[in-house]
Amino acid sequence: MNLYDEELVNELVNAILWKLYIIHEDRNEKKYQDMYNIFVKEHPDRVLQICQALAAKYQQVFQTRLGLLDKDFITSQWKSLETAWINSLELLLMGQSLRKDEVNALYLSDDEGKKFQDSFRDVIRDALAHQDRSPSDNQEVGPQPTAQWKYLPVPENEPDKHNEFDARSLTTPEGLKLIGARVRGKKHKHEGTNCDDWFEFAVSGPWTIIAVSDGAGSKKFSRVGAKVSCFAAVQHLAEDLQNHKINERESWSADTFKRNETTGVFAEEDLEFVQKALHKAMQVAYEAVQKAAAERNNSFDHAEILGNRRLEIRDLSATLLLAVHTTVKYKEKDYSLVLTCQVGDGMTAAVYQEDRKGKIKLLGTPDSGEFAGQTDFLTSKEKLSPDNLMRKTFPLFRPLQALMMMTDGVADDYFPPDPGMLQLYGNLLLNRVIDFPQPTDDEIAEKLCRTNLGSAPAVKEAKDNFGSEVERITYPEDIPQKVWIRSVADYAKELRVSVAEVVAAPELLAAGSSEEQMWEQAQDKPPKEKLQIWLDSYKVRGSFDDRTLVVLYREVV
Amino acid sequence: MTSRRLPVYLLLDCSGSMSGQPIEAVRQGVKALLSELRGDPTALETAYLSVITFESTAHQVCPLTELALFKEPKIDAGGGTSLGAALKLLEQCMDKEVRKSTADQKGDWKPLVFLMTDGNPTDSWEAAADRIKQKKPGNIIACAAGSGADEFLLKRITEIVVKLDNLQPDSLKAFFKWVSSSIKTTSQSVVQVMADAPVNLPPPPPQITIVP
Repeated sequence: MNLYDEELVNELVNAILWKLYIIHEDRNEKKYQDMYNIFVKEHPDRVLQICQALAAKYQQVFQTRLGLLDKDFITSQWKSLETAWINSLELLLMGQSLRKDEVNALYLSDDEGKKFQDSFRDVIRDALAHQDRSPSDNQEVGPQPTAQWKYLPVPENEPDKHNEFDARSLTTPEGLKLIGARVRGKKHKHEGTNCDDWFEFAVSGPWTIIAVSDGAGSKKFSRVGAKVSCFAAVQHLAEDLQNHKINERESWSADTFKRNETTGVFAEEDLEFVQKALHKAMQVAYEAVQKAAAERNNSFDHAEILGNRRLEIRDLSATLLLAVHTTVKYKEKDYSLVLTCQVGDGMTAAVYQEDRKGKIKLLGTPDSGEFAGQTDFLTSKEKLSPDNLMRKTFPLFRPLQALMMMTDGVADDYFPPDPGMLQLYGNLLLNRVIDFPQPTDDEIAEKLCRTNLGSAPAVKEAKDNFGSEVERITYPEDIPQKVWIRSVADYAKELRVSVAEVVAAPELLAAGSSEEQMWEQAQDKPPKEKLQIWLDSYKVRGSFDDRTLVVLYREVV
Repeated sequence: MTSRRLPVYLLLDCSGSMSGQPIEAVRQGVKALLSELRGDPTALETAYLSVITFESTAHQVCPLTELALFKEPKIDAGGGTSLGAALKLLEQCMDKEVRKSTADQKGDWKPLVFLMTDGNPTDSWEAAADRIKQKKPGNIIACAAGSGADEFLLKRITEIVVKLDNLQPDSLKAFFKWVSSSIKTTSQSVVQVMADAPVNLPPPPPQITIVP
């Protein structure tokens, strides 16, 4: 019996289903019986495999019924076993003595019955297709069946419930677009735990204020620390900076940003005012965390989740990244002035253009990635010493394409940050989260002919080399379930052009993103939603963390 | 953008005294360990496994491989107990395979090593043990399996030593089950704490006692 013959296997599966009383076929009885007899004689090993596969499935069903496994563990088809359960029990109990009319009564004809049959069909098919392996020959083993990431919602009955994701946008006084989104990491989805990230932003007077925070994964209420610190810091900065204006200067240079070598104080007063506001905001955020911890110290609900102990400030451990942005006229151009400050990991990066190339400037010190990469949290006073904060305050003055601030969940996926941050920006463009000017077909063709791919049809042909369909880990009714994700690094490789050149060339970006959208309705969706879906979808091996990204950029009209 | 891995080394004693039932239990144990770990998506994306066997010499029968592609090694018993050779080989493999942090890449998490032996070493092993204990290239858990093994001797290699009552299939099965839950716990904690947290082992089953 040739088990590689597709048709024969189809028939054989039916014969086995018939033998198991799962399908009902009066006409083919004789044929099925003969076929099965040959099969069991020639391939006793396969029969054993089928028995084992079915037993394994039943074991899962038993384990689910008896509460060892989550209900989500068995697939929907096998869930129909719940309803078919009684029938199968009868079948097992009556066994050989079953009369034909009794058997007929067991067959299910409705949809449930169909599912029930299909579930058996699948298992038997798989077991048949399974290459048997003798123990001595263990060289040829392909990828093994592996576990799937589950999606479990955030717990309903825990105190301090936060939405599992968020996406927001606003427009700044100078007409820039600000978008931000946070999504739950796959580990939190798998375990049904909360998203620990938070972000807030606001505009106040001429200033745009951004805060991003990453609650410690090991602390059950770190999300509270993340939220209150973002809120407090943004509110404080909004109040402090509302009426503060940066002076226009005849000349801006490194000298403008001169700092006292020991104290880190800026010589220029209008700049130092901003630095002071940032550091005060850190202080205010810390106090907010302190207060939030004190308020929950007597809470029975929190204590219960912490294993019957009182909540302490370390249970709210979270990082905090702050950035303030304003636009200054200089040489008749719009220059961005940015100051950032951070406690803990995460990254802020500015994107600009120079010589038709995208460039980045990191506004933070990257996590060195040492074995012992313990990060700082906003839960102790020492982190707030002027000395410590000065070293973590970065100024920037230049015309900008974009400013990006993110938690470690995103920054780690783009390590090392140089050139990782440029790839991140490129991916936002290539996946059309952020728009870029649309060039004409001629311009596109002209630019492409100077790349390795050469033409628009060739780019189309290569689309699977720099894009792939990703199945999201989300609840079953969520739209979209599948997302087309492009990689600017792979696209640049295909073109044999650097990522820096791709991000600065709307022609190449337009060619690379012309075919498929992220998902069908993507083009009608606002940027913040595209950002959220993109963050939730892109896959990096070993990337488990919540992801938060805020982007400030100039919108194309 | 290479992700951080959790390297796991299994050092298995395959000396003559293991032949028969015990070595079969070890084979089954490795099999069970794999299927257990493959059922856990975090471990699947984080843990990388290597097997080093030792009898009269030591061999790395499986290089450090991701779980999805791991091939079960051929494990046979016979010969002496070359613990020294095994430790030396472990050191070499770790030097070669475990990624260090640089400015351009995030290094691997601190490796996890499980050493199981059922008898006393038959080669000179002290120098290699001292070097490993001093260098601490990973969190090493040594298991003295059965009455023939000297748990106090293993203390020269690592602080974490456990004792397995006997070499019965059930005990070895319990040992491998404990190893897989230890790997799972560690892969969970490294991705969560994002730090080189001290290894946090799950409580061992009754067949295994921790040697103080």
